[in-house]
Amino acid sequence: MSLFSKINRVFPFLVQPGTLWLLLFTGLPLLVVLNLSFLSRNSYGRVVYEYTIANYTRLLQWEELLIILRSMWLSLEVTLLCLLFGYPLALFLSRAARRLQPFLLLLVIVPFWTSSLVRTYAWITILQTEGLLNSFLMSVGWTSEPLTLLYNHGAILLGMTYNFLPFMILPVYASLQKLDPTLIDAARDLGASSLQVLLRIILPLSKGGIISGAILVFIPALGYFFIPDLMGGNRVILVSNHISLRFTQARDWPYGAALSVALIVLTLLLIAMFLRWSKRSGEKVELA
Amino acid sequence: MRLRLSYMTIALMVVGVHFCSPKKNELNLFIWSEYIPESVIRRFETESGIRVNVANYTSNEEMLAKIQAGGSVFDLAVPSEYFIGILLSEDAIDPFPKEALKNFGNLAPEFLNRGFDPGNQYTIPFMAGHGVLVYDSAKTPPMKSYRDLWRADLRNNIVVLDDIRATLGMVSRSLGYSWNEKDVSRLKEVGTAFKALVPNIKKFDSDSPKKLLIDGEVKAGFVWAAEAALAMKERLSLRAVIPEEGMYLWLDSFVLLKGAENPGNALEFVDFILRPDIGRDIALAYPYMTPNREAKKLLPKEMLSNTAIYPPDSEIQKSDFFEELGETLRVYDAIWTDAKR
Repeated sequence: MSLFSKINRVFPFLVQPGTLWLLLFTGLPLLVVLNLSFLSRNSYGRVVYEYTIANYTRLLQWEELLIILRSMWLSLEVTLLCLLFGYPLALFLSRAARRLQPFLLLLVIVPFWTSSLVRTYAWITILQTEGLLNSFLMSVGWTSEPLTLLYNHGAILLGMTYNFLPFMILPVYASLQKLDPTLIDAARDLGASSLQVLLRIILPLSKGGIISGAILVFIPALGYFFIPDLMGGNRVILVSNHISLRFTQARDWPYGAALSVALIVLTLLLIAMFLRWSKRSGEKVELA
Repeated sequence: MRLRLSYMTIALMVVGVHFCSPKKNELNLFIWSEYIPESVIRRFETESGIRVNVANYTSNEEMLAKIQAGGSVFDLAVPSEYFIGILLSEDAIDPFPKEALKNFGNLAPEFLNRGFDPGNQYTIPFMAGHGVLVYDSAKTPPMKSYRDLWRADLRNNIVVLDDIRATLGMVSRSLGYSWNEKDVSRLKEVGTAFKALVPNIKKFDSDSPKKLLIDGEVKAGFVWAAEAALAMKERLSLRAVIPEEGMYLWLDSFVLLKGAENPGNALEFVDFILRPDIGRDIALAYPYMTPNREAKKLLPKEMLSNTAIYPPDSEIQKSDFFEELGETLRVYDAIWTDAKR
C-alpha cells in the first residue's frame, strides 16, 4: 500500500480534493450563514455582533409560517402535476420499442439543453395578451377577447410543471424499465383487467421511481422563484423571494439567514421523511 | 506532483497580482452598470493619461457590501441620494473638495443643496430620474392623478415597480401623505389602500416594466421614467404624465470613498464629467436626466420636451427624495408582505 492511500484511509478529508472543495465552498459559507442567523442588525441594516434568538422566534409568527406553508403547497401542486403528466409518459416510454427508446428519451431531454430562463420567456411570448396563442385563437374565431393566460396561479403551475417534468419522467422510467414484463403477463393470465394491472402491479412496483421523482421535483421547487416572478407577476411572496428581499430592500440579513437555515432544515427533514417512507415500503430510491 | 504544481501556480498568481501591478497613474471607479458610455471613459484616458479601472454594481447595498469587504480599492462611487446617510454613518466616504472643481457651476441649482447633503459637502450630482404614470391612450382614458390607478377599468391591468419604497411611497402620496411617511396610523391607511390596489396590479416589475407596456399586456403603470421613455419609443400610444400630487426624484452622485488612493485623479475625472460636452454625450446615451444645466442646453429639443426624460423645472423643484426610514422600514416591509399573498 502506498503512502498516499494510507493517508487517504486515515485522513480521507485531508487528501481528497473533493472533500476539501465541499468543506471550503459549501460547509464554510453555510457556517457563516448559520452564525449570521443569530446576529442582530442596526436600524440602517448593518449586521451587529450581538447574539440573539429573536430571528428564530420571529420565524414562528403566523405570517411567516404562512409564507413557508404557501411555498410548500405550491411545491406539492407542482409535484402532483408532474406525476400526473410524467407517469403516463414514462409508462409509454418504457413500453415503446427498444430501438426507439433512446431516441424518445432524447426528445424528453433535448429542450432542457436550453437555459430554463430562455424557455420561460418563450412561454411568455406564447401566452401573453397579444401573444401567439391568443392571436391564433382570435384569428380562427374561437374567442373574440384575448384570454388572460399569464400572470396568474395557473401560469405559475404551467411554467413550473413544464420545467420539472423530466425530473419526474426519468426516475419513473428507470424503475418501470426494471419491471419484469412476465409479472404483467401473469396478472393478465389470472384475469386482471388493464386497470387492475396498472393499479396493483405496475404502480406499486414503480413506487421507488415515484418517490425519487417526487424528491427531485418537490425540493428544488421549494426554492424556485423566477417562474413565479416572471410568469406569475411576482404578486405572491414565496419563501424564496421573501429571503431575497431580506438581503436587499428590507436590509435584514440576519433574519434572511435564519429563513435560509429554516429552509435547509426543512428540506433535510423532508428528504429524511421520504427516504424512511421508501425504506419501510422496501423500495430502492436512487437520487443520483 | 501535479497537485503541488497547481498550488504553486495559485501562490504565484496571488503574489503576481500583488507585485506585478506597479503604482500607475490610475483611477478606480465603482459605478452602476449601464451608466457611463465606454467612449467617455476612453476620451478621459487619452486626454488625461490616467488609466480608469471600472467595476460595476447593480444596487447600493451591493456597492456598500463590496467596499466594506475589499478595503479601499475604489476611489469613486456613485450612490443614490437615500444611501448617503448610510455611507456617512458607516464612515465610508470623505468630504468632497468641490472648490477644486472648475465646472461645478454647470450644475443646476435644483439638484444642489438638497436634504440628504446640505451644502454638497460630500456629493457631486451625476444623473437623476423620476417616477411617472404611464397609460396607453388607445386603451384607457387619460390619467392625471396617482388615484387613477385604482380605477375599475384597470383591473388586472397595471404594472408597478417591485420596489417597497417607490410603490408604497406612491400609495402614500396618493392619499396626500409624504413619500417618506412615518406616522403609523397614516401608514395603516397606506396598507389598506395598497391592498385595494393589488387586484389592479398584473405584475410587480422593477427590472423591465417597459416590456409589459410595449407588449400591450397592461393599460397603465407606475414606473421609472427611463423605462417609460424607452417603452414610448416602441408603442406610440403610450403617454407619460407627472401626476398632480407631484413626483419623486432620485439622484445618483459621485462620492469620494474613504481611503481613496487617487483622490487627485478622482477630482480630475469628476471635473471632466461636469464639462458640458461630456455631460451631453452621457445624457444622449441613456434616457436619464442630466443635472448639468450647461449640458442640457446642448440636447435635442425632442428629448427635452419628453416629460419621461425631462420634467419641467417647476416639477423638479417641488419633487421629493426618498429619505432613510430607519426602524419604520419594518412597517413598510410588513405592509408589503401582508398584501402580497
